[in-house]
Amino acid sequence: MKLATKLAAVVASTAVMFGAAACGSSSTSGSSDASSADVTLDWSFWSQGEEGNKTWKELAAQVTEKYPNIKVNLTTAPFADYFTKLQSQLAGGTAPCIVSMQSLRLPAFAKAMEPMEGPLAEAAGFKADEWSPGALKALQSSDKQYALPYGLSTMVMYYNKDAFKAAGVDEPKSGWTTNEFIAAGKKVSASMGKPAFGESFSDLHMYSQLLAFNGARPVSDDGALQLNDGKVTDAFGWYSGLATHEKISSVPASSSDVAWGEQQFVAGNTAMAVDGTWNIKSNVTDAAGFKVGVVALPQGTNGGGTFSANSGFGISKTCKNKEAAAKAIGVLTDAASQAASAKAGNQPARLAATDAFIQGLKTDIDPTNPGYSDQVAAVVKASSEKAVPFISTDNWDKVTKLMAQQFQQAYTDKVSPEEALKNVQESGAK
Amino acid sequence: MQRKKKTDSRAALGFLTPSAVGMTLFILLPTLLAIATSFFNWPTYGDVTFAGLDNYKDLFAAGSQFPAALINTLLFTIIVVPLNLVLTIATAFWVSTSRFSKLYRVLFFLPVVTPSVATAVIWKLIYQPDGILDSTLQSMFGIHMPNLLGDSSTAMLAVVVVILWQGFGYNMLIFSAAIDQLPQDVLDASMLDGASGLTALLKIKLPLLTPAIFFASTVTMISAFQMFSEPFVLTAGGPGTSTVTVVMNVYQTAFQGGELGAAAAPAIILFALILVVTMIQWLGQKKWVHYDQ
Repeated sequence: MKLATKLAAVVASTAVMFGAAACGSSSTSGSSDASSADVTLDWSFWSQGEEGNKTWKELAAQVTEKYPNIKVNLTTAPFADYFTKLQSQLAGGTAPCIVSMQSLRLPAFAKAMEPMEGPLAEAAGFKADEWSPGALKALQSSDKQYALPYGLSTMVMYYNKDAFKAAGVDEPKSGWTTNEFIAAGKKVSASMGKPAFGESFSDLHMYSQLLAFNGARPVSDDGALQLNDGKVTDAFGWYSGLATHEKISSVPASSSDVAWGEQQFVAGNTAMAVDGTWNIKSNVTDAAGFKVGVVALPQGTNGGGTFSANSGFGISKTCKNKEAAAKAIGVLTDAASQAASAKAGNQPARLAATDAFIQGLKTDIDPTNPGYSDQVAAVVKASSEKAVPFISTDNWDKVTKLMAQQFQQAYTDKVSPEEALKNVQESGAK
Repeated sequence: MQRKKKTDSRAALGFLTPSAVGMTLFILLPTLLAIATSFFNWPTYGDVTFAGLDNYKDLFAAGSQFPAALINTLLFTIIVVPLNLVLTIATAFWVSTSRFSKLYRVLFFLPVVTPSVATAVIWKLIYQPDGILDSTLQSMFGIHMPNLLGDSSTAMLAVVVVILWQGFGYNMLIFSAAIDQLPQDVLDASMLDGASGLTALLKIKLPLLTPAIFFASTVTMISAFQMFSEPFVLTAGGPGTSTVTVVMNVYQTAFQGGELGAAAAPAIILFALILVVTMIQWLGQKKWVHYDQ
């Protein structure tokens, strides 16, 4: 009998322990509401590199300086894993209060976020006219603002100045055509002894070039996948052909090499890559001993422009202290914060911070990579005028995974480009 | 006598309860919950609705990766398990006769204790164009190594090599321990009877090893069915669907697609498959496993 009592006690205490653990995990999103009580807010972000992470930590400290009772706790994950992690945090009810959101992922996550309206917009000190309208629009879903942007990025072409010089090819200029791109690619490839360009199956990197080629749009305005669209088929055939037909492009080694183009470029294995302006600084500082130039994407006869994407901070629905979170976001995206983040190399979403962005490059990059800040100013201006916000579907993570699996085969000529598009469309369209 | 029996059963209850509670909480309950989940349309966030058998039907609808994943998983298992067993038994015999057997055991076991994601990343660097294999071939023979991971006809074999390398040491250790434990009197007797070399190996030693072979084949088969991290890191399921596995399908549906109910369905099918195959192995062991010495 004694033993049975003891057993019951053990079982009961185990149950209590699990209960306590469950309580512990549910309270991580912030303590209950009280405007003056101390609040710790979790903020998750994808890693911004060493310099970037340091800047954002300093900005988190700025929040506490302005609101002494609010403490912001920043955690980062690599971009490739960030949204998967967020997904499982939402499923487990442990999502952070302040969520960093990219415009391409917003359709999938909007349901889990609180719109920045009414008292929340007020707490954040949000005034729409201080922002670049495109940057705000990209973070809206059903006409509601879900996140306040910290940056605006467009897709541009980076090139290796030294490799162009060695091949005796003139550096590309804004307004260059896709034919000029292929001609330059052939000469530089011959001089390097390997493909001069690096292909990608990453959404923005690849589709921006298709848009510039003939205006192809992978997703319709109402958010439906349309890879069977005639323009997409034509443009993707051309893009796959850069490797299979023109032989100027290296192909990702496997379907898991999503960042192939830009990684090969920075390592000096290729001489050109499409990448976002979010790497405008790091692509120079990480380059393996060569000078970097930047130019708008090559334009086809019926195409033009580039895709833009941007990112910002919003509030998760499960956050227990939304007003404090809105206040914190107000500080993280205010003019001073944007100037600081712009200096670290993020193209700002606030119009007033553009000067700080260019100035930062002038002092940090120009001494070792002459003329870069002027090039960036011109490219950002040209690209921003023609930039189109990238619209994605609400199952975009799934679609990107399918693209990686299928497009690999088109670039290696194992299946036709049409077949690869068809396979993604079939599995990806809901 | 009666009293003794009573205290015995109480003690047994005491010893059993912790593992029974653990088993119920962490294995039985989650399994039942997963089975229940598979009948619901269960998004990561948002409303949960009853879906009946829809999640199972969708697995075989057009555009679903599950059929390919199931075939790949079966193929992986059929290739990996026999290769693993033959290689590890052969190496275990070789190691047991070596002067440096302890050193070899440690060396061969190292990959097992190294995190599989880390080894997969290293293998990726070995395989990729301009990687270690490619540049060695180039400098020695002037030829390029084909891009094994980027070609749907070779990607699976390239992944199998990594998995064999990674899991090799575990079974080898089991077999080499079993070989060390082979009863010397039986071996001596067989030698006196004139059995040597291949005959001794096939008629005496291997039959004596069958309990170890049974254990190793069951465990290796279960882990082969659950293959995930190596193909996920090396190929992300590509090119095409050539290396998608069932567990990868579950992971991607749940955590990239955000559909927990749809992800539970293939998990349950895999669970049932492993259960059936393991049961067949258990029932079949009577025919070939010799526990008597």
